[in-house]
Amino acid sequence: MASITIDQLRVSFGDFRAVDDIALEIEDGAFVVFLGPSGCGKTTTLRCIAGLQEADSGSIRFNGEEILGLSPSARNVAMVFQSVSLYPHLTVAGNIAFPLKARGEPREVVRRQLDWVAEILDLGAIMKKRPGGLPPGALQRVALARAIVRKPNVLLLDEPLSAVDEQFRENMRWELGHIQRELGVTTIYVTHDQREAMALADRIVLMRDGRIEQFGDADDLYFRPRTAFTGYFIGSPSMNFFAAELRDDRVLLEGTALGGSGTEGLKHALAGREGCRLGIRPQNMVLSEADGLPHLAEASEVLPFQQGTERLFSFKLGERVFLGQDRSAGGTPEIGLDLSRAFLFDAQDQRIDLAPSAQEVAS
Amino acid sequence: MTGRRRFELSDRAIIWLFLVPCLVLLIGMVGYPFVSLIILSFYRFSILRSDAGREYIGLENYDFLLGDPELWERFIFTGQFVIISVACQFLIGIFVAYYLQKNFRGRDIIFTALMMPMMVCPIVVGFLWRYMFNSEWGVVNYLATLFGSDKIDWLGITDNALVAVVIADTWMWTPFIILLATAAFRGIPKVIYEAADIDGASAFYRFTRITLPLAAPILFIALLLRMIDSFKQYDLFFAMTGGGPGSTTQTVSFTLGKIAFSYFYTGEASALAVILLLIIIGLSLVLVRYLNLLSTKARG
Repeated sequence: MASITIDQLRVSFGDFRAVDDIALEIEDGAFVVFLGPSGCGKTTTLRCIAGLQEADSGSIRFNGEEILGLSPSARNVAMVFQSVSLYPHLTVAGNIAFPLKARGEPREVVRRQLDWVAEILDLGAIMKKRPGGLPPGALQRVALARAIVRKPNVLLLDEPLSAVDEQFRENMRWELGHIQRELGVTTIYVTHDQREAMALADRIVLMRDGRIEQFGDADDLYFRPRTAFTGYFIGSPSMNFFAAELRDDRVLLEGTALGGSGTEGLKHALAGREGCRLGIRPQNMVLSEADGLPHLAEASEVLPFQQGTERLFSFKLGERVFLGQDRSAGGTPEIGLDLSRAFLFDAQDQRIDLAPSAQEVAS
Repeated sequence: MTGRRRFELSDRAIIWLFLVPCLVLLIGMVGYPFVSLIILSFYRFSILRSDAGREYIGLENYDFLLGDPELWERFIFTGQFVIISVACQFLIGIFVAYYLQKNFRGRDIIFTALMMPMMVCPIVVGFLWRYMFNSEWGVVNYLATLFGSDKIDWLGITDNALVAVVIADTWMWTPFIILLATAAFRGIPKVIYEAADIDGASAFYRFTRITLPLAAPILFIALLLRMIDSFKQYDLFFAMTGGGPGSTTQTVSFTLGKIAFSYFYTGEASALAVILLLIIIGLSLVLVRYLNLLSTKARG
C-alpha cells in the first residue's frame, strides 16, 4: 500500500502539453477518480504513475520515495486497461497467474493466490477457459483479478468498464468499490463518466486541458464548484449558464429581467462586475405556479417534456435554450430560480461567493 | 414498354464467366501435365526416342527408385539441407525481427535493405556466392586468410559445400523470415506488452511467454513455406556446386533434373516427380489444415 505524491508533473507530446504541472496528494488506501473530458490528460497522468509514459519533468513519489525512472515492474503497480489486455493464448488461470509466475513466485503461492482471487471475483467456472470467448464483463473481471492477485501498492484502472454492457456496469462498479475497500489498496480510476466518478470516488480529481480543475469529494464538486467548467461537467442534466448583469438595479439574465424578491444577494455580487454568468442546475429552476422564488419575467417556447422519470421543460431566452424542472399543475406557471443553489461565475469563470450574509440581508 | 430487352446474365452464368479463364489455365498448365506425369510414371519411355514408343511396366519405375540407395542418400542430403538452412534462417530471422521492433534512426532503411536478397534471382545468387566461395580468389577465403586461416576448399568438399550453400540460402531467405516475423510481432497489440511490463515480466520472459506464442501461427506458416521451398532447392546447387563433388551435393530435385534432362529417362523421372509431389502435397496439407484451424479459431 502506498500514498502517492505528484509534484509539478509535466508531459508533452510534441507541442501539445498533455499534462501541465500537476500537483496532487493521494492518501494511502484512497479511491481517487481522475475525471475529465477526453484529451484532458487523465490517462496520461495514470500512465506516468504506471511507468508506461515518460514525464518531461516533475516527480511522483510512493510513500515519499521517488518512482519516476523506475521500470513499471519495480513500482509494484497493477493496472486494468480500457481495451482487452489479457494474454489471448493463456487460460484465465494462466492470465491471472502470469504476474506471479513472471516474478518467480513458488507454486504453492501461485495456487493459494489463484484460489483466493477466484473466490473474491467468482471466477471458478471460467478458470480453464481462454479469453477469446468470454463477454467483456468477464474479461475485465479477469483483468481485475490479474491486477489484484499479487497485492500491488497501487491499483490503476483506465476506464475499465467502458466496454461493459450498461446493465452489468452498475454491478461491477459496486463490486469494484467493495473489493477496493476490502483490500485497502490505493486506487486511481480514470473515467470521463461523471456519474461513475460520483458513485465510486472518495475523492475526485477533475481535469481539463492538462490541469487540475478541482480536487475534492463528490459533494465539493457538485455543491461547491470552483469554476464554471466544474459546474458544467458535474451533474446531469448539465448546469444552465445565463449571461448575468446588473442594470438600473435590476438583474438581467440574457437580457431578460429577473423579477420577484430575494435577488439582493445576486445584485450585491453583480455590482461593479462585467461578463458574469449565473450557473443554475435544471433541478433548481422550476416551472410552477407562484412559489415565491425569483422568476424570469418572459421566456419563449416553454416546452414541458418527459425524460425518464423526470418531468423537465425547455425554454428559450433570446437564441439560447435552457432546461428546468417541470412542477406545474395546470395553472399559469412561472419559471422560478432557486438562487440559494445558484452559482455566479466571473469573466474568468471563477466562482464568486453569493455571500450568505448578503442573502440573509435580503431575507 | 422498353423497346429492347436488356441483355442480362443469370448469377450462375456470371460465376462461370469469372471461373472459366482460370479453369482453362489450371487444366492446361496443371491438370494436363499432372495427369500425363502420372501416366508416364508407369511406362518405360524416353522423350529422346519417342518414336520407339512406350512400354507399360507398372510400378517398376517406383520399385527401382525406392530400391536405389543412391536416391535415399539424396533424400538424406536434401533433408540435412532443409533442416540446417531453415533453422539458420529462423534463428537469425527472428533475432533480427525482434531488434527491428525497437525504434531507432534508419530502421526503415535497414529493413528495406534487408529485404533485397530475397528479390534477386536465385540463379544469380548462386553464381554470386560461387565466386565469393572460390577457393583461389574468392572474397570468403581472402577474409579467411586475413584471420590467419588456410584457404578452404569450399565447394570441392561435400560438407564444406553444404555449409556454403546453406550460407547462400540463408543469406537469400532470412529476409523472408524477418518479413513474416516482423508482421507477426507487429500484430501483437501494444497493450499486451504494457500489461506484461506492469505484471513484472523481464524482456526474456516477455519474449518467450508472450511474443513467441502469439507470433507462432504466422511463424509456423513461414516454417512450412520455407521447408517446402528449400526441399525443392535446385538453382543454388546447380550454380554453386553443380551437384559435385561427384553427385554428393545433389538434392532430390537436382537428381530429378539430371534423370529427366541429362539422361532423358522420362518414365523414371516422372515416377520420381510423383514421389516428390506426394511429399510436398503432404507438407502443404499440414499447412492448409493448420490455416483452416486458425480461421475457425478466429471465428469461434
